[in-house]
Amino acid sequence: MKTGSRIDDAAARDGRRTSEMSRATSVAPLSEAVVLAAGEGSRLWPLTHFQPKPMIPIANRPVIEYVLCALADADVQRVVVVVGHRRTHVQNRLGHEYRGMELTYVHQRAQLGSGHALQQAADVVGDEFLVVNGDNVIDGRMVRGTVTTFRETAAVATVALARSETPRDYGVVRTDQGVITSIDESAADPPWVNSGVYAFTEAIFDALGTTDTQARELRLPDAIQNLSGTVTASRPGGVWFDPSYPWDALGAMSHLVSVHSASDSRSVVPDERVDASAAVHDSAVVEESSLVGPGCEIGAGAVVRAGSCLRENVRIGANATVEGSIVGTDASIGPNAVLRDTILGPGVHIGSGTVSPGGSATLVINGRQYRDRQLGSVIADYAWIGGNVTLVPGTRIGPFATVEHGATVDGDIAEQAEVLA
Amino acid sequence: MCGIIARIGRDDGAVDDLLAGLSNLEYRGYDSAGVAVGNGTGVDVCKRAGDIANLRDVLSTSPLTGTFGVGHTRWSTHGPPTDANAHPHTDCTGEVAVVHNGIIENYDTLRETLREAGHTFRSDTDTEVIPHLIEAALDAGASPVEAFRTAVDRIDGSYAVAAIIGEEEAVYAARNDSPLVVGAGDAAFYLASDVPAFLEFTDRVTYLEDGDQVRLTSSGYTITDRHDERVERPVETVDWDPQDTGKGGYDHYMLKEINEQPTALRQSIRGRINSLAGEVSLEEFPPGVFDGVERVHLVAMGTSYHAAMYAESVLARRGVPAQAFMASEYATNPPPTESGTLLLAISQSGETADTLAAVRQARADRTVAVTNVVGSSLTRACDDSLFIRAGPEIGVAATKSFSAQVATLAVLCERIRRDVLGAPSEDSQGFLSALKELPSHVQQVVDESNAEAVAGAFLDADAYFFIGRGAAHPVALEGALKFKEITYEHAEGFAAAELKHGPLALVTEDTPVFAVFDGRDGDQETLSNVKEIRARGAPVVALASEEAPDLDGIVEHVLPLPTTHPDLTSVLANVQLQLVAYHAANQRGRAIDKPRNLAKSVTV
Repeated sequence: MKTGSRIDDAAARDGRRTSEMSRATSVAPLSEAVVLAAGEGSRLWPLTHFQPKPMIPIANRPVIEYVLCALADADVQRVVVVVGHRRTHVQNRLGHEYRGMELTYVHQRAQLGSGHALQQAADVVGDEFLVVNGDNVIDGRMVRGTVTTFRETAAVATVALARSETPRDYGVVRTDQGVITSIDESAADPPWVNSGVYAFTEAIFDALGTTDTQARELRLPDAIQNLSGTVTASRPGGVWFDPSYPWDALGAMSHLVSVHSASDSRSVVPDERVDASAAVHDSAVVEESSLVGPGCEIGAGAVVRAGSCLRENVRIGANATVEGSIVGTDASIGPNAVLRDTILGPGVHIGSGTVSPGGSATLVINGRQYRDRQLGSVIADYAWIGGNVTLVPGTRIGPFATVEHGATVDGDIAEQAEVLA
Repeated sequence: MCGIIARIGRDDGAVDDLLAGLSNLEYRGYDSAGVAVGNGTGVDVCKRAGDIANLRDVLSTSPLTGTFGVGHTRWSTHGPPTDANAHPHTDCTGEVAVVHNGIIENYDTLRETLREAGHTFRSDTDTEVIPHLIEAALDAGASPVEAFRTAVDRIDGSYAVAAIIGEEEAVYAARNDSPLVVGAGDAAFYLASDVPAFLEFTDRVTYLEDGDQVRLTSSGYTITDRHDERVERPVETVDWDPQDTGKGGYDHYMLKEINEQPTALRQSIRGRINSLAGEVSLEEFPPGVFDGVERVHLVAMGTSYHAAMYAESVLARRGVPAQAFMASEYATNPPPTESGTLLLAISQSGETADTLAAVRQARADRTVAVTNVVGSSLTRACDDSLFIRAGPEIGVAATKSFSAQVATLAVLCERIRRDVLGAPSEDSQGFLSALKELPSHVQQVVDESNAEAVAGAFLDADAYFFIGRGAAHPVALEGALKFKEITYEHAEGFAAAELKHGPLALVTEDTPVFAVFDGRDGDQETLSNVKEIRARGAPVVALASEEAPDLDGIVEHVLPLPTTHPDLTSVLANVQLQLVAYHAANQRGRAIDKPRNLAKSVTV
């Protein structure tokens, strides 16, 4: 990973100290939270066609589960999840209870911005509550730190800030003695950005009511600047990571399965790296910092190398190699295939001998060019890739696309497209 | 009939816990509900016809408090759903309150005897004899524990019964042929017909056996068997997640359960097949376990019967003689049973009375329960059990349990075939591979289905017909069953060729026909049947994968299916038909999770 935001270990260490201090002062927790999980996440296309961005798996768990764990660690009791795009996938996974927290759902029928999403929850929350983006990986320190600042400054709202190497993507937050003076979405410095973790009083709903939409979207940061009263900044310094681009998702995965597993394995990765119900052939190799989910089958001579995560019911054929890749539920990889730094969505089929070698990729995403990213290919739900296909680094293949045996594929392949050899 | 809940603790939360338990049990029946609570000074009863909301309303205006009590949700067998017929039932003094699930066969004679002795009856139910029998025993000088046993000893039939008696802080219960399970919580003890009733309070459960009686107090419970000997029954921890019993953002349990099918199927097949190695590994049934089997009988009712028919066709195709029976017919008119017969009994709940009766009548060499519920009566009645691992199913219309039954039976059929014929079936590798892909194919159907639009196109039809052949025949029957039970519209399923031997007389331009194509050679004949239907002007909806014949210009709509092994195509068609039925019922505003006149487990 050359650029893009990363989990900042120095900040994380600072955060640990901060959170210890905050626990010592033991402020009253906020018992309610709203999680915004209705958005699609277009930068992760084509993975988000069937899965909302909060359901993208990092280390075999959807991003939104990291958010829920963080809320549970901060003593939240009740969570309202705002769902929209492909909401059944969120609901099926989470049900109505998570680590002792009660989950309820409200439906945002059209994607009209984060502020509009929060408005959907207006009738079901009390007079003070947390709001968290459902599509960023965070830990409990981010939430606890926010609550501490909110209580200690008795603010009308508190916004948690995080350091980013690409602040332009998030909205730079300027402060004066802990009070937020502006949230500027076009600036590139300072590096402190809006992390998408907030504590609010109900005044936010009045502010939303008087905030103008921009490009048909009612945005939460705009409403925050419309609040009458002091809005304070918190710098909790916990884990904050936005898997916005495919290489970010891969980076977050390898980071979480290697670095953090030693210190914080309970909340980050499953207890068993290879699930007891997986069938791994005696001659197959699964390297240590990889995860193999329930019901997976790994054939003779196959190799699952460092930093790969196979979700549930995945098949890896004989002598195939998977390295640094995310393999979605029900995906099937044929014999002798080689996949590096590649992301497969659910139900993808890869034929025998197909190669996605990875390496340096250049992509254009939403009109912007990204050079020299370490990426194999990104293949969305139910795509069918034949045998002996070569996938040039940076290839993205839409859902239900089919690629004929022996083809060489480069660039973006549309949903349901057929690629002939 | 009916669901029972009881609770005893030190705090006075009995009413809240009982109402929560009744809500969780509503799927067992819902034409009336009631509670009786005690607090050491006497017994108070509140009961109402209608669903639990009615009972809640009454209790919110005139609340009851107590530390212990019993509750009941009823599905009528004796007498119409009225306040008087609702449980709990009491004796003449109002100090003995009883709830009951099952049938008391000798209630006529008992009631006459009690009437002659001066007892007054207020309901039409068989249950009411029990509190009067207890009262009579108390009057004769018995202690409450003796009185309860005396009363239960006098009744014949099937029952799960629970009672509270006067000022004594205890709950009494007994089981015979009707399910009853004890739950041990931290602050209170529970008793119910089914685990989900109290799953939000505790996951530590003890299943009672037939003939057992139990006495619960706020500090524990004691179980005695039919000979009044003290017994210990194991405490098990159920691994059902209580979240499974909430609707989790869906409007209906049925839609939630349709959407849960990919997950349920992964659980069903997990660890049971290795498609790369071509292996079947059922922990319960190692290779060779079915050596000597010459034929298979399958017994089941309702949706489970359609799963049995499916397994019959899969076994037959693999060269194993198999026959599916309606369990009720098998019980009353059993077929000749030669040695070498294996009986598979299929029931989601494991409490289906007809299926239990068939197993008890059976003279097979070996019986296997295929069920969703560990510890259910069917698992006790059969020699062995195979669990479908679908997770709890709340919607009365079975959906995910059918898919999980079919997947589990598919694996079992392959095991049986290998033992009986000494080798895997010809296309065993392709079949296992397709089974492995089944969850993904079902997810595709759920993600992409156009069933809502198709259902909306035929809202005003006179009747709905469903046809298929081979493994698609049971799916045609199941599609029709699902449709009729939740839309209340007339729907029938037929073997495709049967249509022209009679039912075609019903086909008009106002009777849409759903035709299932499974990708086998027989599709050509089904296509001929479709053309016969089209000639009568009826609109046709085809369920077809790309393997099906060209249907362009022949059918009105296509509900597309992913391409898979032909033995599994119809399973995918079934998911589309579940969605058609759901949307058709929703568009008509039906009570989808609680269709009229139906109960989840038919235990009578």
